[in-house]
Order: sequence, then structure tokens, then C-alpha cells
Amino acid sequence: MNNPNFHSEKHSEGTAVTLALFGNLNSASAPDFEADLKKVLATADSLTLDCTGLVYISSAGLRLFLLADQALENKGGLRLIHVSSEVKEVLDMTGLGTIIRVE
Amino acid sequence: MNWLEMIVKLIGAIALIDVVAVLLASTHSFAKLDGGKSRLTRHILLGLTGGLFAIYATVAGYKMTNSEAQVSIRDVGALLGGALGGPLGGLIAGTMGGVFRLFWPWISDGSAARSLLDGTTIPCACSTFVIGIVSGFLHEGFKKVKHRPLWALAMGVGAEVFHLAFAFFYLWGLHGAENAWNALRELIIPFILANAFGFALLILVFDQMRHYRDTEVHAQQVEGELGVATSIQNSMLPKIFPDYPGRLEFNIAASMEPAKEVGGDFYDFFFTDNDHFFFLVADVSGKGVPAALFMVIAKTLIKNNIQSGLSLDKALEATNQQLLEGDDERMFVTAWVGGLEISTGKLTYVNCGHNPPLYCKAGGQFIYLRDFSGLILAASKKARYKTFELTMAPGDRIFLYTDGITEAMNAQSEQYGEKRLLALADSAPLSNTPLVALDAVKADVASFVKGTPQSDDMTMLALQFIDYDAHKKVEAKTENFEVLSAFLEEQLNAKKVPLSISNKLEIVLD
Repeated sequence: MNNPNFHSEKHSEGTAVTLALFGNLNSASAPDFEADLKKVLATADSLTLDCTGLVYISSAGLRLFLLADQALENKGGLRLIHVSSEVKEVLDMTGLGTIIRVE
Repeated sequence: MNWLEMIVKLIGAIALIDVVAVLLASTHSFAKLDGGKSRLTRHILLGLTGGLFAIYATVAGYKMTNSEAQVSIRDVGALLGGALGGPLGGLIAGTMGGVFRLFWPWISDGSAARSLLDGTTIPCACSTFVIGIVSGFLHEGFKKVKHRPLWALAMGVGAEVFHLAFAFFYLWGLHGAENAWNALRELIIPFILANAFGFALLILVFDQMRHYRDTEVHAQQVEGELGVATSIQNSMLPKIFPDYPGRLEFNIAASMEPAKEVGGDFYDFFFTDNDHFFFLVADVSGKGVPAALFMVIAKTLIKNNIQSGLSLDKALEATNQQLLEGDDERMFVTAWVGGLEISTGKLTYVNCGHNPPLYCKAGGQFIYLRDFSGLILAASKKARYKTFELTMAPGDRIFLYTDGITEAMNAQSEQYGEKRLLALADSAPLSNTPLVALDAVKADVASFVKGTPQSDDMTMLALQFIDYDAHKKVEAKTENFEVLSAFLEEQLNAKKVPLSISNKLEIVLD
């Protein structure tokens, strides 16, 4: 865990947006990311979260995944890619892996 | 005239009155002077402040080189006394400023030979008095208007136009219009600007400081309310350990330590009837006040649904649906709920996306119960929950916790983790009671994080099953002998007591 400071990078192709996540998404970093995410969700049809750099996710972060998934339910949907085994474990434990598309 | 000297003098005077305004407005005891008798004190205080300032401004005024007239911001003192201190404040400030101005030529020159009627002494003294009184009557309106500094600017301009006009007509009457104009024309602009901006700035500073002070007071109130919220939340969690009153079949202990004043974690335990004991640990997403509010709803719903007689899975499905109603913020709850049938040791449980509890058969090793019943609560209407079962025997132990324990981080951002928790559990002596177990985990996590601030709520619940029926009450009658004998035999067999001792006890019972 050498990069605990969270940040995200946006790569967009029209309404298909990819956000690359880095660091720890916990209750300290979630509020800022929530604001960014809501901006993206206002215009995006589909969202891909690239979790390559995501080290740790707490319940506050999972809540944002759930929020994004439900906002895009009737559009292109939410997709998680490059999920580390630690993050996958959390998704499995909470059952969110069954409702959010993880690739 | 020396412009530089005049500007420096006037700015110096404005700076002083602003400092006084900051001190007054930021003082809590001054803020409390509102309403009733203390309002009078407040107005007198503001009047005295305005009056003292008017005196100071007169002394610090700039005397014109070509005439007896002087430029000062004395009227700011009168305006302050009246606009903030009402008619009484205006009267005090106006009188102090005006009377001092009347005697100022004697005080400054030390000569009593000067005519009071000469020069601008009379009109200046009178204007200050009038400005104090008039602004005092504008006080009520000034209290209510928005953009007070702008209104202050307008009042300042109005007051000084009046002051100059008064002086002009006075001098005209004494020396003719041309002389009057010559005496005053140079000071018109600096006079109006200095007083109007001086007063506007004063009001700006005064209001700003009052705003800061109110914000601080508000912050203190919120802090106080959070303190109450902490104790309310604390009192919502049952605290009857280590032994449930009157129940000797099990031993239970639990704790919840929020990361902030209030938390989103909770635990609960209760009987639904004499034989069925439910216990649970849950974690609302996020922390702080939003999580705490959701926690209250979740705790109430889970308990109500279980007590209504629904099976565990149905109770949690109902809770899930109810929580989803009006959950616009997309909060969710993870929960592990167990129901223990004491007479048989049968433990029925549901895990809604929660951390796996630790379980230990008497004398065995701890394992994680990784059964997954279904999705976290309040995430999806479609969530269904699967119930699992195991049978607890005397001595079996179970330990529930939230991710605040396993995800506690040290300065290197390493997590405490399931492995450390398991190792600690296995290293603990068998004689540990739930209360001791809680303290042991607390201490181990603390030594791991080494002072790194707690980032999430930490909750634990430990339960040890002691026996199926440790509280059997039997009347001492001959016909009850069979019941007692059977009970004794069962107990002795369970504890593998040698036959010789058990036979002796049988005789005692007989």
C-alpha cells in the first residue's frame, strides 16, 4: 500500500466515460470523489471504472459504486475493470459483485 | 494644506475605531447584551464608545492651514452611537462629541480669549449632536436593512452634507457667503469621504466580526448537540454484560467505538421468547451523522421484524425493502444476525454482506464462518437471504466484528487484517470470557496501529455458550426426583465425571 492518497483520472469517449481510480477510496476520500462522480453521471451513458490503481475500498467507496450502478441502470451501465484480488474480496463479501458488472 | 498629513491622520483615526469595533463585536459578553435591561446597557456602552471616539477624532483631526476649520471624523463617533446604540446611544455620543468640540479651541490653544461664536466651533458641535440624535432614530430601520455598509455610506454622506451646509450658512451669516465658501471649499471632499467611508468601514468590520462570533457560537452548539447525540446513541445499544440478567446459559459482551462523535456501526441482542436469543452486528456505509441516522432506522427495523415472528431470512428481506424506501442517498448496511435456540444450541444465522465472524468449537481452533446469505441491506429490491445453521455446544464461542477492526490501518497504511485477528483469537486462553476477549482485541489493534487515528467505527460482540439449561428451577418435591436425577446425570456425563463421584452425588440427591 504505497499510494494511499486517492485520485481519479477521466478518459472520455463521448458519453462513454472511463475513470481510472488510484489509492484508497475510504470515507476520507469518498466525498470529493462523489462530487466528481455525480458530474460524470449527469452526462455519461456508460461508465467504466478502471481499478488498476485502486488499493483499498471502504463501505463509503462501495456506496459510490452502488450509486453509479443505479444511476446508469437504464443506460449503458457501470463496469469495473482490472479489479485487484483485495477489492474483489470486498465485492464478494458484500454481494455487490453479484449486481455490479466486474470484468 | 498638507494632503498627506491629513490622509494619514484620518486613516489613523479610522483604524482605531475599527479596532474598537472588532473588540466589541467579537466579545461574547457584549453579544449577550440583547433584550430587556441588558439592551439598555448595550446602548449606553455603544453611546460611550461613540462619544469617546468622537472626542478622540476631534483631537486627532487635521486643522486646515488657511482657516480655523478642521477635518475630523468625529461624526463617525456620533453615527456609531446613534445607528448602533439607538436614540440613547446617539444622545450620549452626540453630547460627548459636541460638548468636547465646543471647548476644543480652548483646550488646544489654552487661551480663553477666543470667541466661541467665531469660526466653525458652534456649527460643528451642534452638527455632531444632531447627527447623533437623528441616527439614533434611524437605529430601528438600520438594524433590519441588508447591505448595512452601503447604508452606512449613505448615512455618512447625508450627515456630512448636513454638517457642511450648517457650517456654511452659519459662516455666511457671520462673514458673508464668499468668506464662508472660501473657508470651507477645500475641505468638502475630504470631509465627506473620510466620514462616509470611515463609518461604512466601521459597520463592515462590526458586522463581519459579529458574523464570525455567531459562526463560532453555532459551531459550539453543534458540538454540544453532537455530545448529546453520542450519549443517545450509546444508550440505544444494550449494555447488560457480562451476564444477561438471570441467564446463565451464555455469556455475552459487546462494544461500539465510533470514529467520530457518532457512528454507523451497531450491535444488538434480545430475547424473542424464553428460549430464543438473537444477537447481531451491523455496519452502515460511511460514518458520522448520516450513518448514525441510518443506523437508528436499521437497528429498529431489524429488531421489529425479528420480534414480529418472521423467520430470520424473511425478517431481513423485510428490513431490506423497508430500508430501500426513501434511501435517496444510497446508504447501505452490512449485517450478521444470529438466533440461538438455547435449549438445543441450534444457531441460525444470516450474513448480509458482512465480515465473516470467528467461530470456535470448545477446545478447537477458531475458523471464519464465510457463509454468504445475500447482498448488503438497502442495495437492491431483489435481494434474498439464505439462512445457515450450526449447533453450538457448551464452551463454543463466536466473535462478531465490523471492518473497523480488520481494516484498522497503521502509519504504513497496512491493515490489521483477518489473519492477525485469527492468530490473536487462537492464542487467547480458553478461559477467556467475552469481556476479556473484547479487551484483548482492542489492545491488539491499538498496538498494531500505534497511535494512528481511528478511521472507522469499531464494533465487536463476543458470545460464549455455557450450557443448554443452566437455570432449571425444580421444586424440592419427591415427584421431581426423576427430573433432577436425569439433569444431574446429563450434566455429569457432559463433564465426563468419573462414575464413582457421580454415584456419590446421586446418593446425596436421593
